[in-house]
Amino acid sequence: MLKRYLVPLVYILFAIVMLLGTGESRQRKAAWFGRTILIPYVGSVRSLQSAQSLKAEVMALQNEMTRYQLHNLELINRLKEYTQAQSVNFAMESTRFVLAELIGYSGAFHERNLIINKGKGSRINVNDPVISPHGIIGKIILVSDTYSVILPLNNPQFQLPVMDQATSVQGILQSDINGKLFMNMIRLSSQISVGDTIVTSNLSKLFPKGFPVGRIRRIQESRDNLFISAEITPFAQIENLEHVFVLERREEEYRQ
Amino acid sequence: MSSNAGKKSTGSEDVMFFMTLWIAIQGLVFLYLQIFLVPGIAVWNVTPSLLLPWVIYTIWKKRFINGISVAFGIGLMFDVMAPETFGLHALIFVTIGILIDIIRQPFEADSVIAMIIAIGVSNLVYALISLLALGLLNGFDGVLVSAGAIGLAYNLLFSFGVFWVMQFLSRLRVIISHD
Repeated sequence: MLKRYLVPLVYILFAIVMLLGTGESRQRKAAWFGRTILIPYVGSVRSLQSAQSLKAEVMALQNEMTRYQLHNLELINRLKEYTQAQSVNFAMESTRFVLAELIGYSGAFHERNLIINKGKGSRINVNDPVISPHGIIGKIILVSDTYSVILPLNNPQFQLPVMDQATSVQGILQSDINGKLFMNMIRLSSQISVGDTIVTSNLSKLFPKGFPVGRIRRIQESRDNLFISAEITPFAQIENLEHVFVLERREEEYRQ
Repeated sequence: MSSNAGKKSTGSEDVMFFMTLWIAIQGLVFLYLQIFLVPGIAVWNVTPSLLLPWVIYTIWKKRFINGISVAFGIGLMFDVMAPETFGLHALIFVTIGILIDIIRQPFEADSVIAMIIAIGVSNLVYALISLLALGLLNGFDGVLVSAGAIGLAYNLLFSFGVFWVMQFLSRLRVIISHD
């Protein structure tokens, strides 16, 4: 029995000797073992611990970097919104507007509508005109609490009185099934030519007069030879929109 | 005749050497896991001991003297990384090794009751010696006692889990058949 446990008892005595003494002496003993017979083990543990702490540090730095990148992105977006808002130089003095972000589309490809992230909460109403820094976009046709649907000008259902900026020749802005824009119902012999700028008409109940729409690309007579039709290249590219401005109509204008 | 006896003795020494080597490799694996992975599952600042179920299993299943020697060495290596209590784990592992050897002798090798008793007693001894040593070194207080109680419960559960996983793994056999 004693012979069997002789070696373990020696181990126990050795361990007790190691454990005895002050904290400082134990640390000295441990350090001696770490420097001599256990040096490969201590070295490997220290290396792994160092690698582990470095990994944690790298992770923390990556988190920090991601946070800064997101912040940077947010600032870039704010700057973009600000510069776009600054670039709206139509007759905005008397019109309040709401900046909205395009968040989706609805409907088939050639008759699709745009969805924006602002709704009743932002005081948006049905028939509110929608513009971009370059020109008109369309009008609001549906408003929910948190989003609204825009009928864009390249949708065949959209119609708007427009005029030639230079000669005030009146016509109706319409779109065909392919999304091409036309200024129709122009009287024969009207003073209108390719390259003229088309703006919203004073006859429009939705849009204030003079908002840019597009430029005349081609002029042709209608099939019945009673009117002229002008193909329009719009200033605003509906496909590449990011932000739009929903104009808020004044109450008195509404009543009128 | 004497030549045959000499060959048998050499074969037995080889087996002992490889068994000790295998136990040492296992111990080192458990030691590194204890240092690097187990702190991640600490509960209320109480880290369970992965080395404790390893010591129980090794002493129970392998040769006593080989197991206890390696357990002492691994305990000392673990203590080097915690110099404030240098020697504590070496002392605990050897003490537990002796206790397990005494407990298992009246029972059969695969006795589940004996294994449960061994795990329970080992954890109790581990908790008591740790409490005593840390109390004498740093002073007894409520925090130490509550940490000791939580540690005992956590280690007990952990030991049962690890012990039975090790036993299950030791019974797995890879069979390669060629049809």
